[in-house]
Order: sequence, then structure tokens, then C-alpha cells
Amino acid sequence: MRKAVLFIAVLLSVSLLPAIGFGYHIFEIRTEPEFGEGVFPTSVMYQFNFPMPDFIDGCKTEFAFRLDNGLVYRDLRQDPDTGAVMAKNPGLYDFPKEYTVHFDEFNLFYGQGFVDTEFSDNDLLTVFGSIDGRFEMAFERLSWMTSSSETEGVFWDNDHNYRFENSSWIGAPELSGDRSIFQTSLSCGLMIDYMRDRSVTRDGIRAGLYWRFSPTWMLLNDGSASYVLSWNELQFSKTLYSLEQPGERGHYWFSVVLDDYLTYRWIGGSKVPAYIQGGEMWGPDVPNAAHVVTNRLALTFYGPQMFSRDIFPSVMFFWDLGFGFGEVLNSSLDETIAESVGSYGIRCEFVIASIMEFFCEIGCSYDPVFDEEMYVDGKIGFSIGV
Amino acid sequence: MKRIALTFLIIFLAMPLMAIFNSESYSLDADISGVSTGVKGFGWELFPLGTKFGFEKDFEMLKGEHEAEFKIEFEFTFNNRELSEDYDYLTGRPRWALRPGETGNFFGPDKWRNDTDWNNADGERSLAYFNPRASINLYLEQGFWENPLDEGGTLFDIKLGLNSRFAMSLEEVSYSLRGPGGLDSPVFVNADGDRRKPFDSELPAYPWLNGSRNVLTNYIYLDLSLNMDRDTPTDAEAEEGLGVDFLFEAGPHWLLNNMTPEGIQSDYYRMELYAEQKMELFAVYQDNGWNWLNMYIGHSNTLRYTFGSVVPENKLPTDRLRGVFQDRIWIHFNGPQFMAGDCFTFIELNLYNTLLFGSVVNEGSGRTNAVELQSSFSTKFQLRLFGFIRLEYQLGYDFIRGIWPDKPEWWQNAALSFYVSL
Repeated sequence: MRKAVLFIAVLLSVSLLPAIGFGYHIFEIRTEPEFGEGVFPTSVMYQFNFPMPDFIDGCKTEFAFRLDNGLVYRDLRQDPDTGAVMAKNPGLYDFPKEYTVHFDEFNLFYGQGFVDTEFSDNDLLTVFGSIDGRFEMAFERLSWMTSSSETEGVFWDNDHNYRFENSSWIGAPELSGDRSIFQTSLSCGLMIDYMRDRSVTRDGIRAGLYWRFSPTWMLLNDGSASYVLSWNELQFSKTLYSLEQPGERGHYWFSVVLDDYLTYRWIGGSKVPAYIQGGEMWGPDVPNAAHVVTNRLALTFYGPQMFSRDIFPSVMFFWDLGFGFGEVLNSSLDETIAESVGSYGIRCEFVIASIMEFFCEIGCSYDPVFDEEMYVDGKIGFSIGV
Repeated sequence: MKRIALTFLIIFLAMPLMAIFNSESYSLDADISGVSTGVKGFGWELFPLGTKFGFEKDFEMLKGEHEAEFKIEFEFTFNNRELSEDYDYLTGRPRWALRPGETGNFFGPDKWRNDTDWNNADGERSLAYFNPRASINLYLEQGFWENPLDEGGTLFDIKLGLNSRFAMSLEEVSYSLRGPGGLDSPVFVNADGDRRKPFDSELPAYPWLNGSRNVLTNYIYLDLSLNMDRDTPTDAEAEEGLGVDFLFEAGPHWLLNNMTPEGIQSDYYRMELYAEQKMELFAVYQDNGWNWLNMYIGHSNTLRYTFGSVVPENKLPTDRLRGVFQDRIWIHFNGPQFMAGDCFTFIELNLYNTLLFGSVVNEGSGRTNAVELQSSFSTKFQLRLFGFIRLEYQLGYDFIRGIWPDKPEWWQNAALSFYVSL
């Protein structure tokens, strides 16, 4: 029945469109280290634009169908029974936390821009709203049970016992039952874009406010989610130095850019799925509290743009800070926390056509979350991404 | 596996060739498919399990000629497959080639149940397994001269490409669930992680299931095509013209196909010649230029031969016989376009006659040779909506089954897919 309703809903939503042809964007391509050494793609987010007249002359009107699908890795961060933050007592939870999630998310998206800035693809102000649906299915990491040294997972221990036999899954509501969810939500927000972004130079600000609402009673929602999300972000960028190549192409020999990315998110609700929790940064994750703030300060040195604007090397120094405070979400302990985390590092890249990169990265988690230990980690390889 | 990363590092060092690309824009080709053959229990079979997408750049490579195209395509699919019960995993000998009384080593319930070493008293050992896989395909294409039936199109194209594919063969994802899966019925491993028979030894007929069952294979290809056919921007137009295509693929062991501890996972060459002719029978148009009805008839021939000692999973020919000659005749009937140019229906009637011949690939001894004829009739009905939804129903009758002892049979299938080709 649910399958039929969903199909009819999708069909009706598109049958109203007097459209021919599509525009399209790819927003993000992701890889996972355990799948082909992180070289091959495992998920992609993209959008098909239905042709729409611009309601305001010179400003963009978007009506689009967004899809995000594939496979990602995720960590279990809270005790499934109580919701206690595992990092507070790592000795109690000494087992692999990583698992795999197969997911599909779709959004029927409408956006209206105001005030054309000419130097940006986006208008100065864009207001948007969407109807969203997301399906997920979780299972052990891909390397689990591929050899006698890989028998322990997050759900199964080394003695072939199910680790959370009678768990209530308060700490990770999307993992209860058969670990499948289908959740629907409504979203809206606005975005301000006053950024002159030319790949190796950036000047200006971007800001965004985004709300997502997923009550249990929403049509087709399977009841595994109940939350309200407010996501707020601010980016400030300044080109400190630039040396332009001769000619009319506007390419650069060298540039130095300072960026700061600040996010603040608030979540209220009793069942908060992992995919909207946020708080990711290099190294430690900010604990899942009602309020989470993250900030990245980055200084990037760009080398010469070689023949094309999107082929260039770069070296970035970054410093990440995170702060989680307030009530711990998905918890039965009525616990309130105030915890800061921090990391810094260097990332060297050689970007090819904006979709491929060779990279070398090293970072230090100098202020880990709660009682976890600080560590230094490095990676080198080839990856794809947009 | 670190060597895999190194492999790509080397391969993509060739990328500075892109320095010649001064074009500043990209275009994208994307499709979404695979919704109907998914992982057990995944998304009521309505959700995509894979995506194929790419980026291309057009640029002037040869002065005075058409623009060349450089394209990189990515594809990933995460769904289930089933082990074949038809080939001896040690010798590669097909089941149909066994003499009366002769037994072989085949995957499948008989062996699963009857061999005490293999039996698992706790649950049914299935043939299904989880097969996440992805590929990267990049090519450079240059066209020459003018297609007389397509303004701006090219008459002759040369395409040179490289394809890399990574795949894993794992237990079904439901295996890690407490209820339906658990640790009761794994295909490849025991509960202590050791490999179950026969996956604890080399499987020459199934090189992609050896060892860790992680596979990296690469091949290069050259594609020459002659195009004298009409452009059909929405696929709702009647097709007409002819085309000839020659494809040569090479996936030898020295092309980084022996990078994993499992040894050589690809060592093959393949040639294919394809020719088709299509002729419009009638076309009736609406006032706005859309069609009411049209019909065309088509005919094609394919000749393909696969050489080599190790043919990877994704390049296995039908019935594993090296040679294929196929003749196809079809009639295609397009219904009216409605609401939008890419909303229409079509019905297609196909008659296939396929001659398969030669020795069996991945059979070490090479002693099995066969010639067989397979003939089938099929009809396909498709409803396309807004360029990305397809509802399809197919009905077919296989009336000559070649080497397979089964009687002629009817078959049918239906699918809903999301597909975009831009």
C-alpha cells in the first residue's frame, strides 16, 4: 500500500509539469576508503531542473528534483539502550563503531532568487522550500566477515553474539528493527550569496538558514523520526594576495585565500536520525547535543592555474573547532553537556577539472571529544569529487 | 590494495593531457537505473541502487575538424547477484557438456546439501550474494566529416578509451541482521571468518571469487563508427539510416590486471562488428511538430569474438561461448507525444536469432566446443514520462533454446525505472 501511495505521489508531482527537457547539477560525489581505496564513487547527489520561467527578471527561479543515493559509512556514537555518549566512557564501548548505510534521498525543491549580483551564479537572496523523503538501510561495514580477522562488527561481537539483543535503540532510532527507515519531511530556508568565487580567489560572504521538519504523523513517515532542525551557516572569504597571469583568461599564478566557515545547528525532538545531526569536522565528531557550533578557519595557498581555470595545486592549513552544549539528543538520561573539540592539519591537493584530485592530508585531533585520546592521522591518494 | 591506489596514480598521471582543454564549461550525462533488481528488503524496490554520471569537455583538437570530446563517466551499483550453477568451478566445464554419469563441481543446492563438509545445519546456504561495484570510464572521441542525415553530426567517429572497474563479492546485507540473516547462512565464510568450501581454494572458472573476492580489472578500447542516421532528440521520432560500428577491447594481464594477491583477474581481447539499418514506414505529425504516430523497421547484425585465458565477470559472453553472431529484426511503433515532448509510449516487436559458437571461456583445458542457435521473439511496451520515468512491460517467447534442454517457454517482466539521458 505504502509503495503504491509513494509511487502515485511521485507520479502526480511530475505529471503537473508542462516540461520538456531538464537542466542538471551534480553537487557532491563521495567515496569510502574501504571501497576500492576511495578511488571509485559510492554515492552522488544531483539535481534535475524543470524548465521554469524566471518570475523576477534576471533572478533565478528553480523547480527541481534532487536525488542523493549510494552508500556511506557512519559511526555509532551513542549507547543504543540509553543514548549515553560513548566517548564519555570509551572503555565500556571497546568495539568497532563503523557501519554501512545504503540510502536514497529525494527532494522536490522550489527556489526563488532576488537581486541579481552578476558576479555569482546565485542571486543575492534565494528563498527555497522542499518536500523530502529518505530511505536508509544499515548493515555492517563492507570488510566485515571477509576474513578471520574481520569478524567483529558494531552489531556482532567476536563470539558470534548479537551485541544489542534487546536494545530499545533510543540512542540510534534509525537502527531499530530491520535497520530500514523511510522518513519524510518539509524543509525551507534562505541563502545569501555575496561571494566573488573564481576557484583560486574568493572574496565576500555566504550565509544560509535552513529548517527541516519531520513529525511522526507526516504522510508516509514510518515513525522512526520526530525532529525539527534549524541549520545556520556563514562563510567569510578574503583573498589576501593574488598574482594574475598575463592575458585575457583571468588565470592566476599564485594566490592566498583566508576562509572561515561557521555553522550553528539546533535540533529539537525525540527521534533524531544520524543523517541530520551534523557536527562533523576533521577528526572528532561534536557530541549530539541540542546545540552544536563548528568553525573552520583555513588559509589556502593556490599554485598556478594550468591551461584551464580548474587545474591547479593547492596547500591548505586548517583549524577546526567544535562545541556541543545543552541536552543530549536521543537519550533517556536527561543529560546536559558542554563539550569542546578541536583539530588542525594540512591538506595538499592537485585538482583536475574540478572533479578529480590527488591529495595528501595530515591532521591532529588535539582536543578530542570527552575521554577519547588525541591522535595524528594522515592520508594520501586519489579521489573524485565536486 | 595500496597498489590499487598506486595504479590509479600512474593511470591518471596521463591526465595532464587535459592541459589542452581550454573549454571552461562542463556538461553532464546522468541516468538512474537498477531499481527493480535490488538488495532484498531495500526500499520496496522503488529506490535507485546505482547511478551512472559523467562529465565531458568539448575542444578543438584538430584544426578544421569537428570538436573532440573528452569524457569521464562514473558508475556504481550496489545490488545482489546469484552464483551460477552452470559451470564447474575447478575446470570451467559447462554442466551441459557433462556426459551421462559424469559429475562435476558446481555451486548450488545439490552440493550445498549433500556434501557433509559443506553442509550448514543451521540454515539454508543460498546462492545470492551482495555485489557492490563501480567503474570509471574515460575516453577521447574525434569525429570527421558530415553526417548527411544529421546536420552538425559526424559521419565517422574514432573513440579511444580506458575503463577501470572495482567489485566486491560479500555476504548479503541481511546477513548482519538479527532476524532473517544473522550468522546462520553465509555463502562465502564460516562464523569464524574462515572461507567455506570451495572458496578456500582457487576457482579458475570464477576468478572474481578467488581469495578476498575483491576485483580490480582494466581494459582499453578503440571504437570506430560510421553514422548515416537521423537525429532523434526525444526518441519519439522515427529512426532512419544506417550505422556501422567496430569495437576492439583489450584487457590483458599486463594492463594492471594482476595487482591484487589473487593474481590475474583479466586477460582477454574482444572484437565486435555491428551494423544496423533502419527505415521509416510512416509518420503523422501534430500541429506543433510533435508526432501523432510513426513507425520504422530495423535490422541489425552483430559479430563478436572473445579471446584470452581469463575473461572477467562483466565481459562473459552468452553461455560462455567465445563467438556470437546475432541477427535482429524489429518493428518500432511510437504513439503520440502528450503533455511534453518526452512523454510518449512505444511498442516494439523483436525477432532475434543468435548463433553461438567456439570454445568455452575460462575453461582451462579448452576441450569443450559447441555451436548452438537461440531464437526468440519479444514485444516491449514502454511509457516514458518527462524524460526520467519509464514503465516497461516485456513479453517474450524463446522458441529455440540451443544447448539448453528446456522446452520453449514464454516469459514476461515489468519494471519501473528512473532514467535520464541528457
